[in-house]
Amino acid sequence: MQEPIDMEILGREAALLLGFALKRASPSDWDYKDLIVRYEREVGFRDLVDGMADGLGLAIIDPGVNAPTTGLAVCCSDRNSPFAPTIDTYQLKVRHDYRPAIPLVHLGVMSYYFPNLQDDEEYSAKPGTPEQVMQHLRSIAVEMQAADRQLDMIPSTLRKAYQLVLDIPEVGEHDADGRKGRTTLLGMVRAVMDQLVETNYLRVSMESTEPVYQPRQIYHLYVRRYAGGTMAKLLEQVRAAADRREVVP
Amino acid sequence: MRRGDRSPCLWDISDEPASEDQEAANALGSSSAVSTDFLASRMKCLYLSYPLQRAASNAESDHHKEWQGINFTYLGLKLIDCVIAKMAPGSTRGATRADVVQQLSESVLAFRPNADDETIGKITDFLIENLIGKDEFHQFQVVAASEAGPTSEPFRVRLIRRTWSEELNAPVYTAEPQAIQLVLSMLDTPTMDAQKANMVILQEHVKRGRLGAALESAQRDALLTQRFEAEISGIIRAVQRDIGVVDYNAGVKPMLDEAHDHAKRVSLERDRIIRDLADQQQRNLDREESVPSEAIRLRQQLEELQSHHLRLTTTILRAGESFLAEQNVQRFRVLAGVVVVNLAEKALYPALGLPLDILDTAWYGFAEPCLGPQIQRLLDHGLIIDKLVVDRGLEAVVKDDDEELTDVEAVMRELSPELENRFRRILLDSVDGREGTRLSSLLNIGRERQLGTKQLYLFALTMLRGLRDYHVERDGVELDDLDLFGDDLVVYRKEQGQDTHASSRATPSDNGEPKHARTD
Repeated sequence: MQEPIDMEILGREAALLLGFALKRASPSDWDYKDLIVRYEREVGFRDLVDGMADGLGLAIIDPGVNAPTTGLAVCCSDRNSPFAPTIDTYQLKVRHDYRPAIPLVHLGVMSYYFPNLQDDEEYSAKPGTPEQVMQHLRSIAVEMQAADRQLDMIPSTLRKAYQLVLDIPEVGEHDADGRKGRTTLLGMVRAVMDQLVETNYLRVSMESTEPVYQPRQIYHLYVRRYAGGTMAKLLEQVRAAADRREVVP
Repeated sequence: MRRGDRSPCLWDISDEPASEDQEAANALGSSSAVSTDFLASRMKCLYLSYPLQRAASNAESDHHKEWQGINFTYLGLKLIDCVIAKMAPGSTRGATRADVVQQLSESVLAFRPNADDETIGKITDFLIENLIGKDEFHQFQVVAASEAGPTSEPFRVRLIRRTWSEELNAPVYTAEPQAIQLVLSMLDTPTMDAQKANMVILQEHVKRGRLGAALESAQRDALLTQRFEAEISGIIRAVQRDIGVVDYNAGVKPMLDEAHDHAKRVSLERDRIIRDLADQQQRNLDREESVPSEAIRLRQQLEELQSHHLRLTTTILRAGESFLAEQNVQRFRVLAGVVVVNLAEKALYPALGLPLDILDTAWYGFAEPCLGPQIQRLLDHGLIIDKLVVDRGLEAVVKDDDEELTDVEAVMRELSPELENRFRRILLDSVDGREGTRLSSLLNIGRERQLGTKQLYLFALTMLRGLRDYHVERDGVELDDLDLFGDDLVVYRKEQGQDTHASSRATPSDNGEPKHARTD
């Protein structure tokens, strides 16, 4: 009779750990920290957690040595994972035709917070406001536009993604702070950052009159060990497909 | 058979005592059944930990909710360690309460960082109280197998006792020999060493003809082989799980080499014992003497173990191959293959440089790496109910502030006046007050008057919902229609002065005036 009880406890603990990881909980919770240490040290427990995650269409990102202070980061291992973001995730936050700019805003947020991802193994809680992130993204788009004009090699009919960023008005007439901004770049950046707060990747503090957003350590781990590389690889694939299309008449 | 005739590996089949050791054991008065009964000694081993378990279960019961999360088994073991340490030569004879408090405080603080001295003191006293009890023994019955059937003998357990130290002029706590036995039995000997030692013991038992004890050692050998196997497969699994986190050449290979050497050596020794047993059996058969059943069982058990062990050796030898196979798989696995990149150079610039039409179709695929797994939030019932029961006077204010509610309102549009007029015209032309008209014939008239399919749906829905001056009834006849299914409703025109609710038996939605209804 001992066996089923042990399995029950083990299963419960594995699910508890996955729950913590999905919530991007802070490992200041003793239970969470204990489970992370067990995940690192006990082969059987680790196999169980990995197996459960796999079944749910999730994968645990290799946490490196800092897991007990960072927490475990998870990603979707499968497009059909029940946890994969759906189109509804952005349903109400951003105007329909501006939605393709959402990943660009995400990349803007990532590169604003972690400009030297390759070298920075250590995480630093750099503060930032939506306005600063928006300016960062726009300045790169402006720079790319200027470079394209100088080279004058791109046909004017072929619009590029940075032009979408530049087309979206920075702030609206009645919406200077971008709070209702389904139609402004500042509003989109704010919507994306608020979503990252909801997802527990960023935290907001009211240092002055304006809310300041700071990345949590788990976001650094997630971007460094997964999101950055995966985005680069996906973009490479999309780019290659686009090039093939251009070659084939 | 005389004792002098014995070969080095001989078991006794005569009525004489088996060996000097057996005689000695009997002389000491210990029951031979109990001394060789594996189960009885395990029962004793289990009972030794009873005081600890009782202390832990008392502490973790509902009476001490404030101590939840503190591991009292751990603290109990620490307490025993502390007491034993204070009994070491050159130190005072036993631990005082202050010693125990000092030793436990660090561990208590690890569980409860905010614990004050009073709490630590309380926890220590509780543990001491529970481990010592009333300075009495815990009494158990150990069941032992004997030829006459199971017999039980008493077994008493006490781990710690309180004595008075003349030297310190204070009460001190000392560990009983059973506590030391408990600690020793808990110390984990490395599996390979334990197996080597056990093999020597097994050889010795067989050599002296103690077959009962040899069987016990063989059983232990089986357990140790099982543990050894679990350890080896653990190492191999760790390699398979992520080759990136193990250094195969420096960490894993020496471990596997050692395991292989060990497996080889144990297997050779076991083989020697099996051969000796076989020779002896043959010798007995040659002399036309019977072979003891224990010897046959022992040989069978060892042979089974040996074949299992050979399979294990093969697994160890193939670990290198499985490492190479995993290396091939994992090096090219998507997740493991993700490298840390320069974000701006490898992701942001390429993304901003994508042709816009490509981004339009591909952007959704980027959502997952950007955001990660999402937990779908369920509807906030409280909020929904607040919105539904909101006072009509406040409705306008809420609507202004909430974009989502506006969207919902927009979906629930009223019928356009033109369409409603067309519906009413059909009803006016074809519905008789007393006779009533079937929905099917109304739908046919609608088709003749060029109503589209969607408009027909709306027409049927409007009938269900009810229009002013008309009511519908259901008589169980099914609708036979190309586009719709359900009841073939009968539509009546209300007589002058008829009560609105009088005919509300038709459908639940037909009670009262619809919000959108207008008069022509």
